[in-house]
Amino acid sequence: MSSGPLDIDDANGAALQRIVDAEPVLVDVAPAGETIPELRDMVLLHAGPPIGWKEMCEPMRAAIVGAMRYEGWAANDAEAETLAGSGEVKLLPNHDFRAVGPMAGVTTRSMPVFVVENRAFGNRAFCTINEGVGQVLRFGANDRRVVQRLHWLADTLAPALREAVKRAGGVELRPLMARALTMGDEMHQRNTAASSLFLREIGPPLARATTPGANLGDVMDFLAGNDQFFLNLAMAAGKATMDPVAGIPGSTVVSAMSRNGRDFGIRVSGTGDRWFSAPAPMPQGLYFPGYTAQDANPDLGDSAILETMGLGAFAMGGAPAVAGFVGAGTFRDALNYTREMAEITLGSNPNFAMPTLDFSGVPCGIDIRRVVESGVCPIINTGIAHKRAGVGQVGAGIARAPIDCFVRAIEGFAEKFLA
Amino acid sequence: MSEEKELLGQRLQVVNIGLEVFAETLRRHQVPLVHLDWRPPAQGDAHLLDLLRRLQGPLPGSSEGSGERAKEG
Repeated sequence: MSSGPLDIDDANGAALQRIVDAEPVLVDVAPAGETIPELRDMVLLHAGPPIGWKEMCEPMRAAIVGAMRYEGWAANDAEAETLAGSGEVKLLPNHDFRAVGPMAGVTTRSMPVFVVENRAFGNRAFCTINEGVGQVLRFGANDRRVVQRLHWLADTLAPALREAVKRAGGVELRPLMARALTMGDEMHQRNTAASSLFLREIGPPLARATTPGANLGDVMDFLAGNDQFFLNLAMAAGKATMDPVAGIPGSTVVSAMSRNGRDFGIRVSGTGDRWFSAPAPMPQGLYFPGYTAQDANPDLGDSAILETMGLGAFAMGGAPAVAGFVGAGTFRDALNYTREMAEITLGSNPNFAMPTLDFSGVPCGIDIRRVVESGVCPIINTGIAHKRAGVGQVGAGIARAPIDCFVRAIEGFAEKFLA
Repeated sequence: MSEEKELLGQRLQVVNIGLEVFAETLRRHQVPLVHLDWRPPAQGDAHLLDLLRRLQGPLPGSSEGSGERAKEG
């Protein structure tokens, strides 16, 4: 596609095919610094489009402070805030380093990451390990227990998983995710089936793996006790799926959607790494007891990579239970959300079939032209963080990508290709 | 006129297109209707409509496109 006239339909056809052809496989669990060479000391990755310390929301700042204490770059919060504010710590987006992270999405060199290889194209993508729900770093909690858990993930869980993944010869994620979808997961706010299926895959090699110092009972308790454990694996699979879609000349397909708690940004295949951003929306949803919409932070996290590939809210019609959890309404509403997303996508992925919709594939390949023409914006299932530092998750809901991202993307695309 | 009178005398059969508030008013009066969720393309923005029209199929003058195609644009 490097010579001759460009045809948008051809370019988009290639983009859609790359989404369908993806074969994400978990091949390793390794320290982030080992897989992302740019992640040195005093370099920290965050969710969403680029943003400076001063502009960041409180949960993201709190997660950064916690990560700096975890890395030993700062002895306390005040020291960490001074360092981050001074510019001595480089704050960069995950997406620029083939990585993604849920909510604040903070990634530092000694945090372990899932390494997912897209065997159809040979590229790799990374995502940190899910810490559980409630008071966790990604939602802006950063007390001593949160940091202790991060150390346990790096020192105990990750080495055990690494050995198990090696013994298993990798874990193919596409068939596992396809099966989880038929069991009611959309892999964003519901990962109950996927986490269980993953535990079934990894359990035997984990038990057989010789992992000196690892406590198998604790590891199994952790894996079995977190319904959302698979979220981060799904995200790494999403990033591994969507990276080959980026940079196809003439394609109007969205290759990434992400939020940093202030801005919602999208990337479009034909315009490469350029972000088109607009203010992040407030999620609409259900709150844990004691919290209300007044407590919510604007939408946050790289997890919208799942909707970008056709899962999450795009597959809500295949995951009716999640509609109630995120306050999206009834089963009929869930079906309508999926049908609505079919209006702004180029096709469907037959590898991810939804039994509730006559086994049709999930809608995928968001076309910025269709979004702008129809005014229908992508819908995203999301966790809701408290807007104040240190509290953590307060609910779950849905958010709409802002239309202005897509309007700017159309203008940016036209600037590049119609000039 | 007689045709119109006849029409007004019949039971209403309504398809409401666009603003749902009109459908809600009729629903309150128990009028059966079908509501079609519709918005003007690109919210009627002439600039965006022009860009969308030009962003169909072959691209006339992209940097990656051929000189021949660029001339056509």
